[in-house]
Amino acid sequence: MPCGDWTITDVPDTSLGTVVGIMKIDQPLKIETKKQNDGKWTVVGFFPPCLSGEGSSVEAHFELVKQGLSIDKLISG
Amino acid sequence: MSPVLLSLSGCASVHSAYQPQSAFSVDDDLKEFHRQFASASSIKNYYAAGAETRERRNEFIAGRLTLCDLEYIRFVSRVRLDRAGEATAMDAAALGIGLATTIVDGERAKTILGAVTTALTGARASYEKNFYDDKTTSALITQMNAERKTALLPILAGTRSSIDEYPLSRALIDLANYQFSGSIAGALDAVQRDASIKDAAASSQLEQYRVVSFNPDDLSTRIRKWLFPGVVTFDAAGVARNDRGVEVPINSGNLTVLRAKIKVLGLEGVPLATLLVSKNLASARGQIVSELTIP
Repeated sequence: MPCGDWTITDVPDTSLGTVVGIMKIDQPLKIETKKQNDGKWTVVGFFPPCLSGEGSSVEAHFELVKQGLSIDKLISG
Repeated sequence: MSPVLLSLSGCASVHSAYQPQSAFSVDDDLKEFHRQFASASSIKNYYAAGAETRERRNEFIAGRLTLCDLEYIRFVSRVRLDRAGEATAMDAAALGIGLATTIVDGERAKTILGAVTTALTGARASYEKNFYDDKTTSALITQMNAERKTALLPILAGTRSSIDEYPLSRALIDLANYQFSGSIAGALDAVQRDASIKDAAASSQLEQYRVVSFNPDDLSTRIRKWLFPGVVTFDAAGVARNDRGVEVPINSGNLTVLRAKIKVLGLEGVPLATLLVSKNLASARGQIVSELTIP
């Protein structure tokens, strides 16, 4: 399951529906299309936010939480 | 034996069906060490004795380490023995029922008992697969041993430091960490930590595909048509249509297979749309088409 925002630029008019249709397969929260100055399109799929910044998994988030709560971390400040 | 040597050589004394009889009794040693170190490793007594000294601190650490190691050996031994014992109990039960089958009269009773015997035999096979053949237990114990060695390092370094640099309050934290390292929870923690590091590395690799430009190829078309059999076009709303304008549903079976392949390729988390149009993912598309034999 993707997380965060995924962008496809330079989509021609004739392929806009195809890109949107394929993007829908991953069930994003929202899809935005924006026309570029050159007449092509930018398609952005908005998925649930990634839980730990760069990392995109629940496990990675859980790891950060655990680190934040560990005694060693508290002591080292 | 010095506590350090004991902790590193660790389980040589564990007695199980797969190892020689222990040369010493862990239980007896534990009682003896408890008597020996009860006072020295008591925090209350330590601070009541006046100002901290390096010698008293190291004696405290040695006592705690030794007790911790002996408890660990007993724990590992118990884990393994319990499992071996349980398997033996299954054997005994199966044997007893097997004997009963030969004694009782009546086909129905024999059939039922036979079925139970088969079930027990199967349970034992499953049990052995889970706890012996797949090495789950061994892997966890190996992980615990490794974590304990790592956790021992700051303690050893601390014993060489002055009392100001490494007071007992600091040693207690390291000792607690050392004790936790020798637990199933600690081992699972470490396994998860390693997995998280790998996961974070994999995730950062995928970041490069967050913004891509539209560069599909023939492989993209083949995958798309395989996902939507009969598709001719997608309308403005992104709905797949056939040559009669009828909506074409996605082939869920193909989608499942595709997702599994994407996972194997380490691209899980990349939207299909990105996978199908990114120039840098052309080789992945090639692999998908080839390995899933997409026409």
